[in-house]
Amino acid sequence: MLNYDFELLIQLFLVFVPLSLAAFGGGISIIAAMQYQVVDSHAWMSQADFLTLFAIARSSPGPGSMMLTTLVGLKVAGIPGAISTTFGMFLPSTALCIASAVLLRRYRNHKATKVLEKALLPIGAGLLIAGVASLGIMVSMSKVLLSIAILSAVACLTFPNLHPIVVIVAGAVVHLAFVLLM
Amino acid sequence: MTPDGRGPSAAQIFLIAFQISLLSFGGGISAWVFREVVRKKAWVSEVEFLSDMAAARILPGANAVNINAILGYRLLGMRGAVAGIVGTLVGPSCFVIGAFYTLQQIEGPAIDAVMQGAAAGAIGPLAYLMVRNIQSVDRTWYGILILLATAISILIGFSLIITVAVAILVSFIATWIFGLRNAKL
Repeated sequence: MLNYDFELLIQLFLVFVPLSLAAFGGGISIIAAMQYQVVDSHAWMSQADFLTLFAIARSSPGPGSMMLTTLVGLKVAGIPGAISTTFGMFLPSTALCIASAVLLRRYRNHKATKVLEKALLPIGAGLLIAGVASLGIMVSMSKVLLSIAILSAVACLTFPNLHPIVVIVAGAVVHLAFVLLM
Repeated sequence: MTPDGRGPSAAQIFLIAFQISLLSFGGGISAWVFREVVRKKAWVSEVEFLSDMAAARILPGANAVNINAILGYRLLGMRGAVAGIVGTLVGPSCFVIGAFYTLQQIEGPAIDAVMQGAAAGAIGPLAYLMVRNIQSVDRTWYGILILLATAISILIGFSLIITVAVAILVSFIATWIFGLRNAKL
């Protein structure tokens, strides 16, 4: 872990900077773009690896999907990579956030602020659709995984108070059982 | 900003953010922050919190990190913001790094099956979040058009940052022009 590859670390950082500034609606909104960059464009890992990291991130406490960023860096370049991607993901958005929070607070009742608030809703929703769809495409490599994802979605839409860990563990158990028995 | 006598120290902000980040799971951090910072500690008022929460939600980035950064900044300026962000990220980061190395130790086809099943199961709560977000969009032709155009543009592989920049511009102009007729704006 001591042979720092600075070029790689900078590349990792730079991949996440634009994602950071476009992450309207949180981590899931950028998952399609992240998958494209990490798996298709840079070929840093396979689709299956990416899904495993996603599973770890979603099974962890804290800002779930965002921790995927840390894991991608860790997988590609160890701890220095994890630091690099985490900074790339959180530095730009946080800087923007603190700068604009002051402005937004001052102009809270201004028409432009209210229009902006409304204008961002369809974009956040569109990004989420893309995120969930790209995850659906990723798991559709296996009919069993796709069925688990669909059943999980149906369960969560039917019972909104269902704790996320319940469907995550259920998915893991069902898939393990299926792989062992088939 | 209220750096008066009742204000917390950077260490206190860090500790609260750290605790909350580890207690929360799959989102919902803001409810915890509200309880700790408004109800229990009374560091900020409910109105202040809701105004900061609105800003945290519309800006890019994780809501949890944004809200803790904004509240930290409100309470203690730049030092408070850094304490809030670091407090929010350090626990979950260590957790996922630990989980990653643990999983590497017990590698095997069974673990692969478990992780892939967990990933598929994790899509459900996100689908719920997606539906809730779609419901929050006004049923206007331009809103639905922008929603669909954004989703399709990303899915066919257009640049995320360009898509978002164009979408914000178009959506802002459309909402400004057509939203005028909507009295509830």
